[in-house]
Amino acid sequence: MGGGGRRYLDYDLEALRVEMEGMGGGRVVVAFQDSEAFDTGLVGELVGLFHSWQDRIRFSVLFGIATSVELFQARLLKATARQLYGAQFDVVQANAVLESVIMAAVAGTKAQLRIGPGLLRKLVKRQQEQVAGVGAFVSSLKYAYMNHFYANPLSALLVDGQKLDKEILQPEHLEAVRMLGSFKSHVEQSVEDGRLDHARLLLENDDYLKGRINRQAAKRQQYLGKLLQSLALVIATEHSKRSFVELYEAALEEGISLDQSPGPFDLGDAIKRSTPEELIGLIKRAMTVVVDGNPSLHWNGMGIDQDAEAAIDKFEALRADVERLIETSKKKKTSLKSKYSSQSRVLRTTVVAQKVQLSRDTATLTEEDNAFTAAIDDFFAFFKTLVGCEPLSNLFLNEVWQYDYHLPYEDVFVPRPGATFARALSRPHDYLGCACCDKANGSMVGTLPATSILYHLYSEAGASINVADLWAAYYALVGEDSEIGMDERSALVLFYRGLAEMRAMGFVKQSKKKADHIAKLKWL
Amino acid sequence: MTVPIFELPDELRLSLITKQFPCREPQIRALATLLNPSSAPCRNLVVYGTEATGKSAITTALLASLDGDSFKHAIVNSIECITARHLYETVVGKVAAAVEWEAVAPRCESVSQLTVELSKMLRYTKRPDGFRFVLVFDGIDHQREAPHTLLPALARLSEIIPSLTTLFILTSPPPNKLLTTFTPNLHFPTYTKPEFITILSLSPPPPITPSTTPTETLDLYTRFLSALHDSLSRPASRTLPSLTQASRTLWPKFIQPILARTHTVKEFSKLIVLARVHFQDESLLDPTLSLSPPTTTTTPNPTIKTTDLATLLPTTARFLLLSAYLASHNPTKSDLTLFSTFHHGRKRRRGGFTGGRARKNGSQHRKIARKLLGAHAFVLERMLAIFMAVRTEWDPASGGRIKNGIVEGEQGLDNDIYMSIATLASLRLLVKVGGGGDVTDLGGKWRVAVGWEVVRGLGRSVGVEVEEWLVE
Repeated sequence: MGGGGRRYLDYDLEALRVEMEGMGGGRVVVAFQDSEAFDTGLVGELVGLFHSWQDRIRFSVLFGIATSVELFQARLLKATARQLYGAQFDVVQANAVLESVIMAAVAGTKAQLRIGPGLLRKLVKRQQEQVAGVGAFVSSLKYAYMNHFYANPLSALLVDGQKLDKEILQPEHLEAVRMLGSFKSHVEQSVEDGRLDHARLLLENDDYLKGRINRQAAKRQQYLGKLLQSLALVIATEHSKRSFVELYEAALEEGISLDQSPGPFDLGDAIKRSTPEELIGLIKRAMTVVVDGNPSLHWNGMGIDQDAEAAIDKFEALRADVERLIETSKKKKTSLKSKYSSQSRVLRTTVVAQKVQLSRDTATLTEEDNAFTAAIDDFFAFFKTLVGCEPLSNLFLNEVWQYDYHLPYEDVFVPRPGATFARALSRPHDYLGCACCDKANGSMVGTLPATSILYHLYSEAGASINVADLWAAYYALVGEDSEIGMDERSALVLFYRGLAEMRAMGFVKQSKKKADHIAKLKWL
Repeated sequence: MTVPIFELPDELRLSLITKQFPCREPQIRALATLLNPSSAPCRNLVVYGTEATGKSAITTALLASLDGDSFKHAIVNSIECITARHLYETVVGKVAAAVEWEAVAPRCESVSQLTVELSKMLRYTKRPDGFRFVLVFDGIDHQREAPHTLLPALARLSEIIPSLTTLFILTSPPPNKLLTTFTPNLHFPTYTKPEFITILSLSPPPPITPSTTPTETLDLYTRFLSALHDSLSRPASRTLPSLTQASRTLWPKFIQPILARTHTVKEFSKLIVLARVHFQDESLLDPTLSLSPPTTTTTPNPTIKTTDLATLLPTTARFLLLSAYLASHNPTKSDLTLFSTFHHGRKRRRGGFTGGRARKNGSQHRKIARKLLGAHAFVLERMLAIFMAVRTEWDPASGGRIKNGIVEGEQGLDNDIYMSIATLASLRLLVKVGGGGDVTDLGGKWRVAVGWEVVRGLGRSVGVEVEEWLVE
């Protein structure tokens, strides 16, 4: 009810104006989240309406445009476009969002469950090729968690040691653990290493196994720390051209080793070729990583233990060395280089007895250059001790906290109804498991369900099918003259039912051209 | 005191309005005479003229200046009224507000009810002698959901209520203008060139450089406006706002040489020659959303245009859109030539069969070239078949194999493809033609809604030259 007892219609903006006056003015923002979905005429009329009220109510219109401003404007009337004064706000690109989501939720320390490399690759690939929004990725991730914690009984082992021992752990759990692949390979490895007692105890003594399981949590943390530390350091070198996700996948699958060449972590040459200034920058970045960690991974650096202090000391010393070397070479007015840098190798041509000889010569290195080379070697050797980890699947009990099955995910998120129908209809025996169709193996026999027989006939037919011919073919297969020996009436009933089912599934429809024909609909 | 029968409108008031709205003096005088209760008040009045000729503004200003004890008015803008009922209620509300009427009826659903309400307020209430009420319907020809009897009914209002003047503001003159002569019409013609220049030069830009006098600037601006009108306005644009917009855009470019001190204010013809390119550019008449540059907080990679369609769509959607373009622009009969590998082993593109054969002379029908006809509709299944056929060639990474007529492996028809189609449809890049039928119906007809430029860019972003796949 407005002033003077007037009642406004539901769509009367006058009511809004009165309300706004009561609130003491302000701005009305109308957001069109999915502007492409709106009818163009409707948007035009709304803009016109808002424009006519502009002197009384201050309207701002916010359009979410998924394509481009040009396309959006092309859809509007010119008169409408003239009434809009626009400003453009770009959203962050989907790839950047995806990377940060993966860093925080998949790779970060807060993630309880490791998504295995195979599944992760599939998820990321689907994300890049099929889906634009990050929502699908998040729900896939949730589904993976749900699958793991509902379907894998060993996921119970993820709880705290104390509680695990007293309340949760059952004898069956231990039995299940002994079935695991990682358990078997661990035992085999112990036997090969000659630790026979250890292997025997693992197999026979439940308490010993429990102790091992309890220690696993700490080992997992240790592994994660090392993994993230290596990745953060590799990224800090800025020599790797791959994205974080690719590096992470490779690390889980094959482990990290700087010696492997060629490989995703093949950084040796790049590091060795760096100039003194680059090396100093590299050392600085590495120190930052060691001290502060990587916030987007929720990883807080190496902490304050002996290793960390030793690393910082080492880096400090190296930096001081290199800086001193730069100073000295500046005084001598020579440029500092190492034996790895490309300029140091000179291709020399000499003409001896009308023959050209090519020889590779190492340019003479000064004392400082040699020292610098030593410093690089030193740095790289130390860097190698910090960077490196095993593949995920090598770890004892990795099945407890790794999830790498892509079939459930595909069944749920990327269903293939067409192919599923086709398979079920062409090989119904695989699903029914009946004795009568044992020998069918995908071919057409009379014992198959009527719909399936019709499907087989259908796949052999052309674009339009004569129903009488279809019936004749069907009856020849199941009729009185065949092994089945069905009488005509019941065969006809089954035939009609099968045809109705085919139509319900969208395989055929009544042809408009010929009265007694049906048209084939599914080609793909 | 007796009221004189005829008395011209107050000159003082008129001169104020005339000054406010230059070049509209005849119209203002006519309107004032027809509205002023002591001059020649009429019952119905039609004011018409194209957009931006000052109809509404002058009416509003004139009525506001005439307002007094024995003269009231209300203006109803039809654009603001969503239904006819909304219009009636707005009229009642505005009239009640104007005459300070207390007991307003809560609803008003029809014209007859409107007549009753207005009669209550204006006819059966004691008003001062010579009282007139002017009711303005602005843009009544654009009223939504208007019954076809609306205009005649509103015109009858003043016959029932003697003290009412109804004023209609329209874009075009009423069609039966010459058949019924009893309604006065007032035409607001578009401005002529001298009028345009007079109006625009009333607000000249600030002096170009500190050394130029305002007179010099005004002189140059006037000549600039004249040139602008000749080059743009006459052929393409006739409204004041678009000319104002054009002069605002062009003026800084025009005076650029003066600011650079290569030319002086006096050298008008040289300046015109320098700025000729801008004068020929008609794109500034095309209204844009006048975007300010994007205000992003972080731009991770400035080289990639983030608003580019190619970078926003996922790969599959891009392939689908390209397939749709091909399906829309290639005739069906060339599909076998283009996409089948069955007979030839290698593909023949660009209409392999037509090469080398002479056309028959004297054909009966001259066909219009297909590409001139725009995008054709295609059956969804055909597009999917094209997509399947070209996918392995365009994207070798998606390894799949065909077995038993069913494409297996990575590239089967899975739900992601339907999702991509749905995405493209919701972005209006693919449009379903004809109503009815489900979106997933393979027999449904579709049409691509993007142009050649977009598709070419899209194709290049995935390494496909779309030209090679088009028959014509």
